[in-house]
Amino acid sequence: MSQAEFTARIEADQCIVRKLVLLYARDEAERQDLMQESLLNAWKAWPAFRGEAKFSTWLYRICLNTILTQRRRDRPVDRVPDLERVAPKVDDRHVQDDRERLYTAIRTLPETDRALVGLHLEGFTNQEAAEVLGISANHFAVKLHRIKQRLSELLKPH
Amino acid sequence: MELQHAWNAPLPDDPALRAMLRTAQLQGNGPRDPLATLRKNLAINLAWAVIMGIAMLALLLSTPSLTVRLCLSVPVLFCVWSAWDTWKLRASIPIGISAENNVLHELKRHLSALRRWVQVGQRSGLLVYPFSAAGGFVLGGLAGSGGTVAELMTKPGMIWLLLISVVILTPLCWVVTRWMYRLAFGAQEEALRLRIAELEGE
Repeated sequence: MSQAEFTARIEADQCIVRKLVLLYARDEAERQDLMQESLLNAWKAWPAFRGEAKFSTWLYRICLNTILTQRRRDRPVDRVPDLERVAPKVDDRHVQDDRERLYTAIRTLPETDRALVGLHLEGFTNQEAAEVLGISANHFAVKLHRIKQRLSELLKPH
Repeated sequence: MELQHAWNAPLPDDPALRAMLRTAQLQGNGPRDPLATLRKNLAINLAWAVIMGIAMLALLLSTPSLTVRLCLSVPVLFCVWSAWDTWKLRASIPIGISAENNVLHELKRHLSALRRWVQVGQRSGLLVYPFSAAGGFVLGGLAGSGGTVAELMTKPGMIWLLLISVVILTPLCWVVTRWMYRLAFGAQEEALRLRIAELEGE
């Protein structure tokens, strides 16, 4: 279990860390902080990784646990949906960056809802995602339905 | 917009991530790990309990008066108990993030550690503050009057003044401790509580 092996596996699954961090970071400095904290915790937990779970699931758990339990710099959290900013204007043909709009919309959700939708979009089944979060699959499905409705509302062209 | 399509869109290259992996920044403790901060605080508390205990034990052994020895033995025992309690709590708080625990479990573990810390602090405080208040009162009295403890305490009403000081200062110190805890960890506790409620709620 060398650092080289760890680095190679992180590089292979780097999108997991990067996408997850993008759901929480409010600026570039915080993005780098969260990424470093997550990688540091993953590195510390690496000796205990036995390969019983998929590396991607293991990494997701570490990153999510890090982001949701670590102390972050005190700054006002943007929890008020800003429809003007998120939704594209009908006549704006140049708005192509759907990904950026999606992240912006997700960042307006409560923090645990961001984790939930991130797990879903990352391709985890309801059962797998519910296990990562520690809730029932049924509860997960109900929440996901509500979040998808919220996102559709936020991203609807007006 | 197709959510999945937008999510799957490739991210641009991230030189920051590569730099982090390449420059051996994977060292040291997480600067924002609240449990690491708690353990550090507990280590400081432990060191103080040991230092105070040794100092009072030295004072106890150096004084010939049996009454004073009996009085000093109480805070010495308190220091031993406090050090033991702090050590036990510190040992029960593992730092680092677990990949075995789910998010809800990990949030509750962090919240529980924060609460236990403040409970131990407040419990210890309720025992130590009366002694501190009484000690401060007597020391202040001695400095002001220039007399002995016996002369000071035989003045009329002095016992009542001492008791009133203890009764007022003990809860005041307790409230200040609580306020300091809220200042240090209040926001973190609130954030953890909120996330747990979000996950458990419909």
